[in-house]
Amino acid sequence: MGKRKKEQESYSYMRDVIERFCHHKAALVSVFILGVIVLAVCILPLTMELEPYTTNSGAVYAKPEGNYILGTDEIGRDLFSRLIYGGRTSLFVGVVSMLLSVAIGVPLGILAGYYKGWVETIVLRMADVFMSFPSIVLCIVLVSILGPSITAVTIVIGITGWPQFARIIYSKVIITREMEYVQSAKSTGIKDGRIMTQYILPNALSPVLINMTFRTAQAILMEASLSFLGLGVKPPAASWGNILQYAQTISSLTMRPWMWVPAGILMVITVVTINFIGDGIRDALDPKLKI
Amino acid sequence: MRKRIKWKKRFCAIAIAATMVLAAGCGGNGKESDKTDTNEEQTSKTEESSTGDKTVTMAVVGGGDTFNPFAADTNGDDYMQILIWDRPFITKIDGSIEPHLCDKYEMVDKKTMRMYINEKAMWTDGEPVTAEDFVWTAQGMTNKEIAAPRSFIMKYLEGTDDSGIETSDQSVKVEAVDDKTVDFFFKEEIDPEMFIKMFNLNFLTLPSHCFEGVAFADVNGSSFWENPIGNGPCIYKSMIQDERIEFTANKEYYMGTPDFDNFVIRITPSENFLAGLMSEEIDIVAGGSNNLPTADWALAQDQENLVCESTSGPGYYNLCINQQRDYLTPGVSQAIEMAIDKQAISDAIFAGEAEVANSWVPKDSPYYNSAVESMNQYDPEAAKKLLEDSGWDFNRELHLLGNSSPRSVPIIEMIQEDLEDIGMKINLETADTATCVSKLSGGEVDVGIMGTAGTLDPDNAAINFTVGGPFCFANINDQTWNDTVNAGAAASSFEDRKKIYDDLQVRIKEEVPYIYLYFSPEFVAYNKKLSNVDITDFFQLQYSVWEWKVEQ
Repeated sequence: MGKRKKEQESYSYMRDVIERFCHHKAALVSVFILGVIVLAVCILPLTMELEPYTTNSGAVYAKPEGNYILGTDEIGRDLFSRLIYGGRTSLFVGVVSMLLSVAIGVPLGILAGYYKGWVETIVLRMADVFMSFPSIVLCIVLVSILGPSITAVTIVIGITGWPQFARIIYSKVIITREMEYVQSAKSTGIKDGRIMTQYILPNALSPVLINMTFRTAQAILMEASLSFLGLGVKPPAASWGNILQYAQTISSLTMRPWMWVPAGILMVITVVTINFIGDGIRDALDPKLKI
Repeated sequence: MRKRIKWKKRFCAIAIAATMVLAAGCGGNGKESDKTDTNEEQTSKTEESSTGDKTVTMAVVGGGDTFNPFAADTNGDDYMQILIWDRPFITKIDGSIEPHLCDKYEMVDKKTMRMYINEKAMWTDGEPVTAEDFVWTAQGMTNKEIAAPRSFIMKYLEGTDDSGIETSDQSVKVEAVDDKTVDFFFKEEIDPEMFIKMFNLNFLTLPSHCFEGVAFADVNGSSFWENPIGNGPCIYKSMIQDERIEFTANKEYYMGTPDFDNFVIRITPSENFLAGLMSEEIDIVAGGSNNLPTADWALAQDQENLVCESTSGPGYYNLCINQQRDYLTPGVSQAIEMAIDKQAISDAIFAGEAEVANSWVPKDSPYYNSAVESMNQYDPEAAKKLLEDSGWDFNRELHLLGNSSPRSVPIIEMIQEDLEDIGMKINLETADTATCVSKLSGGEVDVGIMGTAGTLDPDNAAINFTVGGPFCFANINDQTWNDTVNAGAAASSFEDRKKIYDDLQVRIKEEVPYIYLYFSPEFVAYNKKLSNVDITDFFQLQYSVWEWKVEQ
């Protein structure tokens, strides 16, 4: 009976959260748009014959027409194909690097907030060191050392993002650890690990969930910046950032907008929708918000 | 009341925002300014307009890191030096040799060349350029401790080994006959024009009187390089590393007073060349590896303030096949060449303007061997079969290295695609020029793409075949290559040289240490305020700036 009641309570909480999220119209529309983008980059390569790497010296800088929906680049590669495959790269890097940041930052933040003392000092000072460097500069230096590749870019962006999550969860943990149920759990002899994972973490996770979306958007932009500078994914791999490299020459900017406008628009839409989803999650998890 | 206050606050906020937008938008003179503009440039522009000084700004992609000609090993270094020190002669695209620091040369006997220094040639500290300067510079170029990367230009002289380094202390045989005459003694009889064309590009005479009492071991670390004294059309003024190098005109220049007061070499990505030319922040691009991108050529030709000229030169790009890798057999290397569609690269990247290369010798050179045209021609089917017959392991990844510049990446991507089409797995790496040079000469990759400025004489290939040399990018250790190129240089008649180079071209196609891809065209644009600019010499980094006319 007690277990059932608990399940019913959690079910009704989740339902409330979802209901509140659904009332956030911008977030709802964003979910739909982002879903379309994700489905497109996942499914289109399987259903269409996309050739992002095939060159055609007779069709360089071709305008959008015929077989080339979005035209071609300087060596005749289909820009639509590169846009789709580039989306895979950008989204992959964005999501995986965010997860890496969470995987590093959350445990460190919990440990720092729970144990305090020297653990807290070390973790927070490390976070301060990382945050004192401009992140793009740090990324450029690390990628230059490791060599540009999807793996290197993902790891570097992931590593530079952990302090954000560590500090967020730390601030929740230092409050939550003083709650009565946590004190009771301690006094009944439950191990620290279990207390952190089963008592503290679930109640401290909501700001982390919100920041996961914002970090994903940041990571996508960071990857695009690195690729734009030639430090991103290895050629001939496509990413939205290295497609935007075409925007460097004045002739491409003025005479060949099809080379860079679609990638730019898609990146803006993706980042904006992710941010709106983050807003929606924040509002949905806010207990003070009444529908 | 509350509503009124609320509306007042809103109005104030909107007014402040509008004021900020107007202030930001209405600043400046309407011209787009480069974000890397420093206060110095804006100051110098203000000074220029106020005092009437004429400044010419030339754009290059990469700067160098030394003013020391003994230490120069990249074109970036050359740009820093060629306006300060003169070469002995000017070598033209048609093969003719014109006076510069030296008025003329003659062969005293079959193994002795005499150069006559221009009587008026002076150093910027007022001292005359003398034969002793040539002697001292030759000793420096061949000195063991200085270890000049370009010492190979001295290898034909007595007293040096095959890499141009002295066999004993100051053994290089270059002697001053009198103050203005210097003799060069060769090991063997050679074609004098061949020597001049090779030697001329890399020999910058230095002021020996500035190094009196300085041991050669201390020359590279000398403070002279911080404020060098030269004999060229420009005097070094200041530098901001990786941004600009500023010179003033040498008004006492012996070839003629330059028609400008200041000369700036500006380091700019090639993608920004046209924007800079259009906004007049740049007056001219340097050509060679600093061409206007092909993508911008059409738009450049539409600009009213620009003169656009294209030409061809002997500069070429090639693939360097690491000869120390057992699996890169001649059969595999031939298959690689047959897989690459060189014409497609020319069509895509250079709008068809780049001449496809089958040799380092251009087609219109008398030394070109037309027999190589039919060898290893593009045939992907045959390439794949040859690869299979050569025992290539299709699970192996070929480590391919290319330059990371936006111009070079598409070329290496096309090559990668061609090789993957015949079943090869490619591990593509891109890096900056210095890293590419280091990795190639260190034998760290299987195949790498490299560009060479080239010269008009086929002996320019020697640097790529000098065993152990810094530019032997194919890591050759078979001395017979070196012997052949030396024999070609040493042969005294055109017919003898032609036979040797014909055989060499065929041998390269058979054993394939290098795959020649294309000769890069020159796309040069400059502001109409400049005139009398001869771009045909740009490929050799020869800028007769003293002849340029500059409007205010």
